[in-house]
Amino acid sequence: MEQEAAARTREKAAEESLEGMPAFVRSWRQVYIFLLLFLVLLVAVFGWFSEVWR
Amino acid sequence: MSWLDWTVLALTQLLIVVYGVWKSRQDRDMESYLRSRTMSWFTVGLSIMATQASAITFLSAPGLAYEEGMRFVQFYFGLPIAMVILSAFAVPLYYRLNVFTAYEFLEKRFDVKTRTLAAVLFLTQRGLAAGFTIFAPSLILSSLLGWNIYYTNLVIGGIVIIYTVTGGTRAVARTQKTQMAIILAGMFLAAWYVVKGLPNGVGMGGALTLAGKLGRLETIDWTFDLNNRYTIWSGLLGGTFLMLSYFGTDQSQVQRYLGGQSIAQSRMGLLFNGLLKIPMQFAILFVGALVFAFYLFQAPPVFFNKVVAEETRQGVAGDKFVAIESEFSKATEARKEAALNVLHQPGDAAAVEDLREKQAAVDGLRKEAKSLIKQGNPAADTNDTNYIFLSYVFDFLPAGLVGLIISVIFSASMSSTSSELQALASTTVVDVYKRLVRPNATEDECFRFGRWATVGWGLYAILFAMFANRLGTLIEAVNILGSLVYGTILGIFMVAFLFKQVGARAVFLSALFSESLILGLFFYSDLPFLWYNVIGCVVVVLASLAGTKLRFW
Repeated sequence: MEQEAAARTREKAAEESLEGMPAFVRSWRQVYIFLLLFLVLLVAVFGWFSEVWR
Repeated sequence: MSWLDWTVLALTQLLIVVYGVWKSRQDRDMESYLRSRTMSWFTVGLSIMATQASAITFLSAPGLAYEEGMRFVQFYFGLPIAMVILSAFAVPLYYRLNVFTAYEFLEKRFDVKTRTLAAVLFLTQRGLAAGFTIFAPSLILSSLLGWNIYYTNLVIGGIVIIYTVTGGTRAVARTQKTQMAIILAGMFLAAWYVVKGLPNGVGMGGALTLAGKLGRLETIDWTFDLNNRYTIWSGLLGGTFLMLSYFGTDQSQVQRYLGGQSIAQSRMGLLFNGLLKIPMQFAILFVGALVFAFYLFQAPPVFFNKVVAEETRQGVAGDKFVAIESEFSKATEARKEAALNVLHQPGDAAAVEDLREKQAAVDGLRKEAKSLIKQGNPAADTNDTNYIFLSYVFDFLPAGLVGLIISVIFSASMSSTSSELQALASTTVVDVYKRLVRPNATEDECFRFGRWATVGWGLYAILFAMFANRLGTLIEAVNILGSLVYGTILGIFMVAFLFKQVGARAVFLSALFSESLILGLFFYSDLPFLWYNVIGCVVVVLASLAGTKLRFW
């Protein structure tokens, strides 16, 4: 029972680990939001790019 | 090609093959051959990108931008969204279950029948797609040397098989890292040479002005039109489904990120891909738009596939074709004058209108030339999109660089094919051989069978490559092929993840129903292919839920 609980804790820790990320990153959710904002920015830049050279 | 180009090509290819063999010299067991959990996020990310961006990307995308503008970039808008979803849900799940292939999960959730159905759909589609990745460099070699493309497929495919069989997952990934660096350097050099080749006083600004006025820099299409293949909506919605399916359920990609040292490293590799893929694809398309601007000042051929053009000149419609070539030459000269006028009179709407008219005349003559080619030989392929970038490389790049770029194309194609063959082999070993044929097979037997499976799938891919030149623009053909099965596979995985109440029988029958529907749409409707992914997935989910609720199955 205790072993199972310990394994689950280890699993959870591995899933939440930010190993290799810069220190200012606090959670994976932050990284995901950053990537989605980056997509919005790209769409805006491409829209502007098409418009400006049309 | 000059002797310098041949030397560069031969040396780089030899180096890559030797490197692959040397890196894999210690990988002599199933674990390291099929899944090697030793890679950093950077290697995982580049390996994912190299697997997706094969020679097809490098050949077809610039041609697409030359012909239609850069709207194809919208196709990738769903990718970052898919990367986020997969990082959050799929990666931890695959690690928790300690699987070799994505389809193992389906047996744990449903039954062996559903696992086998998904694995078979994957094997069929990916085996055919591997044919395309072998075909792309064969196309170059046949165009370069005038060889019969069938023999070229055999030679190229044979080299890929030898290289793949000797390389395990780790060697493939490390080789891909080097290859991605060469690809990016090659793209940059090609773009630099295009701009350098423009007439004095035109430069990058002039190239952008002209390409923009002629619609080659259009990237976003906001219209909601189901008949329009690339719009922001089809990219965001259809693209998300396609990418979710490709990266989440296609073993050629799952195998890449399952090679990460940890969950965090695998996630970072996927997100790195989400960050870089759209800018990279934009850059490749941008090279095509620059090539278009370059050919405004340097007369292009009326048809870029020189072998087919020459056959037409010698055929029954030869006289008419030569006459069109002569008219085309005059039309491109007139277009050049109009382009210079636009640059000399910035903001003059009449000059822009005149340039557009001249472009329409050039397009019209190209169309006429294509219909003559068809008249001369009804079996001829009149799609020359894949030859546009190649023509530029052969005709205008300096000695040495031509060889390097051809080597880049070869390497990219071989590295994608090796990932595909390895994924096909893993699925055959893990989901078919060890699960259905010989459950008691030892690790060593599986390892040896895996190598033979790689050879078998390589031969299958070569066979399909023989028919690839009848299927239009390569990059679109690959994605169309994927879209025929990805929606259904994604639907099965969605039900597995989200709807605990649905059982094995319901999802299996729904998947068969969905696949029949998608094939029906493919053969009997004009619906753009990106929507197949959405429809396939939604039909599996809804049919499974409805069937379960109504106790229909």
